Amino acid sequence: MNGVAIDAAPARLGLGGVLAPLIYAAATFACFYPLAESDVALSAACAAAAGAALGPAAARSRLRTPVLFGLAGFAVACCMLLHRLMLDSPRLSHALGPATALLCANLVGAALASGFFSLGLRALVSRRRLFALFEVLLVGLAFAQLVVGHRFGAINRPFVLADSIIAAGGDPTVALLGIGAVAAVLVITLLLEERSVWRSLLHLSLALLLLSLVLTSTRMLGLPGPPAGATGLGLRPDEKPAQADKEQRGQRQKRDGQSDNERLEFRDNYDSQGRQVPLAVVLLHDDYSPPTGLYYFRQTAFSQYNGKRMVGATRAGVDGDVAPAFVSQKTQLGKVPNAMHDRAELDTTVALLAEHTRPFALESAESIEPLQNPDASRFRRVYRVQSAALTTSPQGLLGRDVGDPSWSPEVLAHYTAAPTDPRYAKLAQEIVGSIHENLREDRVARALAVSVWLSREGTYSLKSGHGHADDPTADFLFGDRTGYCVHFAHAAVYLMRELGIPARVGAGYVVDEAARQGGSSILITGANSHAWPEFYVDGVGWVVDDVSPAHSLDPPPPPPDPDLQHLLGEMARGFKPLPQSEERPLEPLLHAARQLRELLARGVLLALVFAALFMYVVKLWRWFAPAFASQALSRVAYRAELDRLSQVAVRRRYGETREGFAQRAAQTTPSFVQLTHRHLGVAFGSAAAIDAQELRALRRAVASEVRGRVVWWRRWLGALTPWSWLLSR
Amino acid sequence: MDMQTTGASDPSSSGAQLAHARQVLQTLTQRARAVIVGRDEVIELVLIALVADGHVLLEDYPGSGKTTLARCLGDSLHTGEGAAHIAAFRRIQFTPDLLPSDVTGSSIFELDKNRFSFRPGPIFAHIVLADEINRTSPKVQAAMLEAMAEKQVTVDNDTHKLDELFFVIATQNPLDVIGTYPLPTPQLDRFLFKIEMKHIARDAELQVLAQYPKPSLQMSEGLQRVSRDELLAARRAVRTGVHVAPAIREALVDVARALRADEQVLQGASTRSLVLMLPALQARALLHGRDFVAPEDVAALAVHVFSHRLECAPGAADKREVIERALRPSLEQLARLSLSR
Repeated sequence: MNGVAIDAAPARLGLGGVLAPLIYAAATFACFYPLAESDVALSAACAAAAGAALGPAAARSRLRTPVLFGLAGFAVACCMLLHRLMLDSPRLSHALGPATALLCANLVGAALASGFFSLGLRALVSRRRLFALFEVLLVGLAFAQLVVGHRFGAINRPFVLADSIIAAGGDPTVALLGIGAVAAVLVITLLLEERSVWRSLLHLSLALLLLSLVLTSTRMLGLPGPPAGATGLGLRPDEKPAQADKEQRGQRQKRDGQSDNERLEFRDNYDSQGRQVPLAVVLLHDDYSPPTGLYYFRQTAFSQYNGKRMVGATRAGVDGDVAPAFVSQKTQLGKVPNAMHDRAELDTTVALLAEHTRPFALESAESIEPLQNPDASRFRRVYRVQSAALTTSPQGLLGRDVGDPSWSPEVLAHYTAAPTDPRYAKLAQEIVGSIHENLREDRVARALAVSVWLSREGTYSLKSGHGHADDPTADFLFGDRTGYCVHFAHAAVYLMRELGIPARVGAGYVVDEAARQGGSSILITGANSHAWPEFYVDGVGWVVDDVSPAHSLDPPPPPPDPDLQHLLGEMARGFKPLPQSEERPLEPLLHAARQLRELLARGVLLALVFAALFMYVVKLWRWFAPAFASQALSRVAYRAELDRLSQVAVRRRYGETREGFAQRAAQTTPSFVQLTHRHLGVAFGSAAAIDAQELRALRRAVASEVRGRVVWWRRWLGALTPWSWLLSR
Repeated sequence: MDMQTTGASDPSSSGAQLAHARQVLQTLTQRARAVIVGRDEVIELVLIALVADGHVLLEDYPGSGKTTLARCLGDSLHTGEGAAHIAAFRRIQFTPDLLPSDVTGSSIFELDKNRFSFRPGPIFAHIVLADEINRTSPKVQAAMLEAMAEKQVTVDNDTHKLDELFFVIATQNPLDVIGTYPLPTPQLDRFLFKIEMKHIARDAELQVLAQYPKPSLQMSEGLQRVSRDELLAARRAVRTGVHVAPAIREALVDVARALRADEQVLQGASTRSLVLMLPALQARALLHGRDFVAPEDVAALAVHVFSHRLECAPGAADKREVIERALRPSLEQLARLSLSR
């Protein structure tokens, strides 16, 4: 022994003090990572570490605390001003070029500001422990803001983190959990700024063990799924987890017809609420550019005139290219004529995010096949469609005939039934009259002329006042010609039919090709809901001849979020890399990480088991050693009894003499005093010889006394505890 | 007890001597306990000092039984053969006007023999009660302390040996310090123990009152007494017969070093204190029926041995706390040692 243990001055620098620069660096990096380039974040982190390292030195200076605080704040403000000046300086950007100048300004500003900030904060913490609370809060917030957009697993606002992880083929939930856990460990480390380095180390290793347990056990138990009944993406405003809400929702859907084009309604005020709600995502399996620049997804067609408006056909044998309902196996729809000439075969996968009563498909669908849902918590239904997409523009069809010679007169009548209002016929003839005389007799040209005329004369507006008229279409067409797609489609179909052209209203979704942004996924939102006129060309089939009004009173809908579109497309693929897909550089690394995690989990378990086994072996050995000992009998016997007392939580305190302990333990076992005496006699050179018989008798006495005075379950608990011998001193 | 069994088989062995020494100690304990109630710990310490050839300083309040204790010890000795001319017990009440010669004795001129002859003072006794030693002048204190350390007095350049059995019980009042000459630390070093006496327990105090009409000293009448030679033999037996393990000696040195290294201690324990402590440890071991010094002895005696030898820094904690802090690692080491060999 020497005096070191006694006069050791309290360590000024605990583990937290040593690790503080590292923690500051990590927190600063997390703070800047989403805001700036990684170079800037890195330099800010380095500066923060340096500031934190210098903080205690600043705290030892003679400056008073408020002055220190003020100086640090002033320095940070100066850095921000410098940053602003550098950004604004034309000379700098001339000298370095704008990109370099921006990077330079960011580097200098971020590094200096975070450095001074860390210096000031760390100095304050060194002065007053209370500020540590503030410090811990800041570190926690720095990490929290990284993941704040990802609550409840919602990914509609994907920030840098989740996107890059998903793109690399990883599971963002685990990564986000990991970030949270690392932040927790850092915060704990800060809190554990204790005087004793060893104690801090112990606590830190405990925290790390807990962290590894969380990360390893998460996979075993599984993460909580999204709430039942919801689509799980948090994307839809009407998304409610409760079953009770279903009815109400059904009603609302019927009312606004948003997610379903089951009926077309003429309404005065088209409710535009929820038009940004994603309804489905479509994956193109081949590159396809529609000749009109628009993808038409037909869900249903209205070809029957009921005397007032167009409704779905009630007769058989018409509209065979529209699937009447979802199918349970691959189903062939009506054959699209001349598929090889003016149309191209194209496969698409449709993943529905909202309930639909019937499938929709890129026009014109030939077959439909249900697919396994890659993520049942997110997608309602997934199916694959084979379409024969039109590759020739409507103008290219000039000279063809309309209708189909094979149609029966009833079918032809079905497709050409029009209102009896003479104004339609009059207007139709006027439009025909405006066509160039060379084309005047071409029925395709006539059909196109109708849409051209409507596009020119009509005004698009979701707010219109035709809903209550007897014939809303007539009210629209012969009134202010202001309406939305349903009006235009009806008007066009009526006019075409007046000219004897088989026409119908198609309904579904339309998406601009530009919205695809070169990707293979197409996001369909409520805003894409559309109705359009189409007419039948002999040998080509139904051709969409949409009206695009030249004037619009409404702003065009905003383009979809490209990130969300891409992300949902990836998810619809089931996270599985397509055979020809881009390479995943992280995949082997992630695989190794998964293996390591499994190994770690198994290793921890094995280590625990082995440690317990080892402790039991040692315990048993110490227990039975007196039976074999001869020379060291008193010591071994005494040790065995110490273990027995330790099992029932009677243990010597630090610095307590054995006799003092024996006196204390005498309440439990009086004979232990004598046993201690014998043992000490041997240990400290008594002349008396040891008497094995007496020692055994004393042991028996101690055992019976312990049995008599300690409650049975306490003894058994102690006997089963593997580490009790570690605590006996 | 082991010692009795060993002693019975071989009467001349050290075991027998030890048994005899223990007998002596037990007799003294019995007598003291019969007279003084509720002060078993003080009695034990005083007897340990007596056997260890040290002196004790009692720090207590008036009327707490220190004179009775000292007298009782004196009564317990029967001064038979050898030093018949020496009184068993003397009490010296120290006052500011006391002179060294009042303590040591002086040379007086004998008219009939026409020469100076030495007249021994009250210090020439086996057991001396130095009452309120801090009330007298440093000169007298020095004379007294010289006698205690050297077991001799010097008067007129003549050195007179005191008896081998010379035991001083000094007292001082811890509160009543006005007009006193506090003993400096080097002089305190000559006392083996400083014993702080606390007021006795309620039951013990009641028992004292219950004895009322009978003088307390008579309580020990009829009990066996101990001769001077027996006591000296017991001293020798303790020194040779009680084993001090090297680990104990190491622990003592470690404790002293730890005390000296302590930030709160200005002046630590002297080497002399360690030397003086060894027989005390042995005596305590014997008193507790052991023939070896155990860590418990160190733990029990350290505070009494070291507390009056320390000079603590201003504002330092209680001396007892300082000592116990220094003691703890060594005791822990000793406790572990006993299991690891």
